[in-house]
Amino acid sequence: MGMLRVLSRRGDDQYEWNVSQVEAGDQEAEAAVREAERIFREERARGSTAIRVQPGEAPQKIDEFDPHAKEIVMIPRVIGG
Amino acid sequence: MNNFLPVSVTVLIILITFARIVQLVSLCPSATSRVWPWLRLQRWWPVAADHTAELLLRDMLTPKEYNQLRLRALLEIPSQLYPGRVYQVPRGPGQVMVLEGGRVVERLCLQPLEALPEADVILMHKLLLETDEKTYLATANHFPRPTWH
Repeated sequence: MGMLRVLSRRGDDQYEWNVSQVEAGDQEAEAAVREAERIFREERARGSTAIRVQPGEAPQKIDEFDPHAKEIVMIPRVIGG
Repeated sequence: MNNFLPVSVTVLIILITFARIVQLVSLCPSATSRVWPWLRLQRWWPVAADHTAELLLRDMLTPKEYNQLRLRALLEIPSQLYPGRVYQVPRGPGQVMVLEGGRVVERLCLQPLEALPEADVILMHKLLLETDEKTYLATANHFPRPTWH
């Protein structure tokens, strides 16, 4: 399972997808990935930072949506305070 | 009526005393950093955003990091660019302290454009510092160290 977490005032909005089902050709699973990718691009266009978080690995900043990621956290645009 | 007045006055005094105790406890960072996160982790916590954010923060941090945050009301993140430098991210409002050799050398201020729950802000600092420290430093406003440090 993959998960996109978009940090927001509501805590975090979560979007899940199942890679193995996508690879098996499940249409619902493909739609879920496409939706997650659309949100990813939308958030990136708004200036959000995307970070891939994998268990046992250091977090990594990414520019492109990774459907094989275990978890992607999107942080809204930041400014100097 | 004669009984009602003393009872209501007593209840009022109890409520004011309780509120004062809560206010005093709230002024102590080491107390609030233990009590409020614990409350936010409970399922019945009325603010869903705070509950979700606290759960995410607990899951993303190592037990050692989360314990440090609980006990000291701050999270220490070692720099990956500058050996010996440590960033102290506070729980709650405040600036990120930059420590070198155990001494505060400057303070950083960086905030999200969109309001986020307290726990999400801590996670934001951690992830940004660990993945792109250079951009973090370029974006944050830098302030000299306070005179008392």
